[in-house]
Amino acid sequence: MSCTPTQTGINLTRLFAFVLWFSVLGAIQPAAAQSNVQIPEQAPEQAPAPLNDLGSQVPADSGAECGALKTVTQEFDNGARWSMCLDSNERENIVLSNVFYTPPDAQPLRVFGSLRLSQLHVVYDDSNVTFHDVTQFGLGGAFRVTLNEDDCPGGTLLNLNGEAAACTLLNKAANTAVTTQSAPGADSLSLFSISQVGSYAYTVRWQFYDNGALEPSISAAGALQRNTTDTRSLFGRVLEGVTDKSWLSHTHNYYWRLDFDLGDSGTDDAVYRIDWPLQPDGTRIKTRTRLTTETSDAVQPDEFRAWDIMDTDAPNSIGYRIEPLHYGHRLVQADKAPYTEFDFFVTTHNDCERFASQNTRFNPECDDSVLDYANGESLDNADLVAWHRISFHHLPRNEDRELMHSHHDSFLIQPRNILPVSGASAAPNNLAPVITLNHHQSATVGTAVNITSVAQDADQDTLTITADSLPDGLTLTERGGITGTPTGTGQFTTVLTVSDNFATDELTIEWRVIGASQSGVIPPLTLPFLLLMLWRRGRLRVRHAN
Amino acid sequence: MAMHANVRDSSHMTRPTFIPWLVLLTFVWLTPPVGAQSLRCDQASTAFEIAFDSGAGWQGCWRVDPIGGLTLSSVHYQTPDGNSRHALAELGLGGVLLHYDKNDSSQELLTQRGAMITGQPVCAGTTVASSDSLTTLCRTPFDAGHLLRYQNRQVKRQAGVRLSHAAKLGSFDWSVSYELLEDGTVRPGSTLSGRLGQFTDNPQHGNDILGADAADAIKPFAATATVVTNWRVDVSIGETFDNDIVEQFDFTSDNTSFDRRLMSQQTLNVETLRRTDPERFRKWRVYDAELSASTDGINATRVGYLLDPQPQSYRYRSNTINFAQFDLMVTVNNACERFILNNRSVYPDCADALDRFINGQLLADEDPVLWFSITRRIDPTLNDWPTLQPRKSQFSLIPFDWSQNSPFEQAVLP
Ligand SMILES: [Cu+2]
Repeated sequence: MSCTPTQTGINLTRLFAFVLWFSVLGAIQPAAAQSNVQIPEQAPEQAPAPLNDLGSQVPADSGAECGALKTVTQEFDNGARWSMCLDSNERENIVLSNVFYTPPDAQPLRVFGSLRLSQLHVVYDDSNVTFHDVTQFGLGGAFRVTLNEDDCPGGTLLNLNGEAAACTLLNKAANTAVTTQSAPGADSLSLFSISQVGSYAYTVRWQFYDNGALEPSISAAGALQRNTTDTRSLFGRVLEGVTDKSWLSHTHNYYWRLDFDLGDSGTDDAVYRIDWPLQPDGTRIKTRTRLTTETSDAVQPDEFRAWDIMDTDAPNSIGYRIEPLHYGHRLVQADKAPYTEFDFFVTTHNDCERFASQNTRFNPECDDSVLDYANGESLDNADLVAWHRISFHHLPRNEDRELMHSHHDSFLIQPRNILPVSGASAAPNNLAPVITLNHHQSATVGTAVNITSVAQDADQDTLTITADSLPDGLTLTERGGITGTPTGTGQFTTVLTVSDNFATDELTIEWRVIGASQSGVIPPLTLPFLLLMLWRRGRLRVRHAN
Repeated sequence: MAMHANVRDSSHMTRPTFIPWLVLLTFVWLTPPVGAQSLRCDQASTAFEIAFDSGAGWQGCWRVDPIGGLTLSSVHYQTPDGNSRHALAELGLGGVLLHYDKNDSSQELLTQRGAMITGQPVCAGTTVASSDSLTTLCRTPFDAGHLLRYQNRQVKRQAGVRLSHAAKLGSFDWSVSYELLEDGTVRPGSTLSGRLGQFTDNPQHGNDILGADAADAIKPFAATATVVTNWRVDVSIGETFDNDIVEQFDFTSDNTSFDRRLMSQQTLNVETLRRTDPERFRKWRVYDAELSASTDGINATRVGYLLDPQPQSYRYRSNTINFAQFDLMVTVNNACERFILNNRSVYPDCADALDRFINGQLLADEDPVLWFSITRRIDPTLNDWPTLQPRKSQFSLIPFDWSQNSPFEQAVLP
């Protein structure tokens, strides 16, 4: 397979640097690193493209104002709207700026100053080869693929500089079965662009949902990039049909840079770390810690850690949550790339802190990696930037040759408290629970009682059921019934209450618990006594005479 | 360009009356076992057939189990060149643990709240494949994005069909879906919506989400909770079910030498409980011994499914259910071992819980069943009242070495 040159300018210095680099690798790892890597033709090195962050100067109620940039706007059936400005630069390719979400029947809400993929590592299992694709190569410029109709079926191709650079597709709700009480599935707009970097074709996609959620994702297609002639190596697999090559396993490690600017002011956002530590008694208690200085944070799977970026520190402020739900794989190279020990970073906004790694290549006046950016500056009244990464380890299979079946990774940025709460109280829609147990109950000492359910709730809400003074031996079950075996006779009055949190039903139940003898079984000692009484009154004799 | 699946109904199999059913059975019996026409579904199930424009497709049976909900069985995948291969003996839910943070233990929703067939499913904008008074199957063709894309050559997009069903599960609405993709991938998923059922007066265990309704509420805080969805996956590649082999892969960093990652491969020989190991990229593969190469080692062709635990990120723990801390369990298939908890309430002759299913049986020459869990949180916001915004979880069974190379690349390469 050959790389089709799509760009005329070849930077020989850069090419030489790569050749040199691989020679050095070859010297270190003679056995493993017989690389077939194809060196993409480089566009002439340029100064970094200008960033599109507009800070907080744009009035919050205006929606996106894009100036010379392309505006992308999508209205949804539910009345919601997303709008943003689109640009493409040499390194990150797609940069979205001035991103607004307008909830149904509400004012536009400024959400992000800018959004971009800020690094893409490919880390091969055989050695210390790590590609930093965004900074070593780039996803834009000559690496950006001109899209065709097949890339964008039923969608809209977006031109930048006269080239079909991106596609927007409207996805109707996932069309999964729902019940009549379900919230509808969310429609979404996906905006993506494709970049060919070496053998890989990356689709970098932003999916904007009508409920305010955003799902950044990346798919890799194209072809496997590297192999080794050491076919017995444990770093990859020989695939059918090519017996002299082992295709190397590798990790894709993706970083997104999310410049949050929630609400009217981009400098009053608050970031929280949320944990739910398990208590000795089996319960969990939420701990919500505001991060007051720049922080590098790691996932904590045992404590269900997540991060909130909220408009203000007020209770129930609008905001977004990042839950690390795509963490079955996690790349850690503590010595070589200390930033891989962390999964979420919050930093103050700085235009020259642009790439998660190798930043000094383009921004020599700033630090080199996101770990260095997070160096303890106060987040008070600062414009916040959140960084999140996910990784995926790829073990080659036959299906990956010659052309590779696409693999896909994404995460969700979920809205909190953003949709307008319906003005009318929702509780009147509640259907009250109803006690279905008869108010007269009888039971017998020694005979098991098994009432499976005492109440019903048309909404199937979870019911809280209490009963005071049940007859001795009877108890409420977890599922809302009454079971047990009565131990003593008598009349009992039980007040049964059932609540679905909004409405309550109450019923007083009269129990008559009788002894076993009262129910027709004659205990052994009473029989001689009865016979004696009957005989003395002559009745037994009469019966005898007949 | 195959954009949408060509969806064919098999509704003639839905609820035949007694005599036609006998006739049909005879017909099925006499037909040699190739292709979907001969697919035999048990009386409780209905056949489905999916044909994509590329020639790839799926055949199988579906039913709505009264406890477990939508369940697929006898699932066959057909490659674009028309070869049909048995893929899954059965795929369904094994259990749903709901653990409110305020409580010391969880409840298993399927067996305790049961009745996945209650409620009226709605299939907006989708094709209803079959319906009677209790069950509706939604089948929806969808575009799963690029399958192949290289340079500026032609593109191959991937088509898929989603089979789904929804029901009430307590106050929740619970939707189960299976996405069957053109390349042989299967994505089981579930979506939680409906209404929040539990509230508390302790703000450490819940969120103040009721707004104006708070005044009406007896307990003002919507309870936060963990939901563990467990899937029972009976992968059976090929027509012989008892020759599938389960393996575990780890990729361990070699700190002494440039962070190389050494692949290690372990055959799981005995029924077992396993956890994910994200930093070793742990994953599992089931393959068919007969269809695969007889040679050993990582390079040998292994026809099977890869279960990559990417979406399992949180680690649930329970003081009362020890096995719930594990992510993958492997057992020998036993038709009456179906639900991870309270199994005896449905199948009185078998053990009651998953940890009892795992009793040292050897997996060699047996039909293995994988039980895979995904943990998600419910941490409600103002937007989750009165209706919970949908929460979806999904994982993938990825075909591994099913063909010598990509069966679709002819569509792209010149
Ligand atoms: Cu890859």
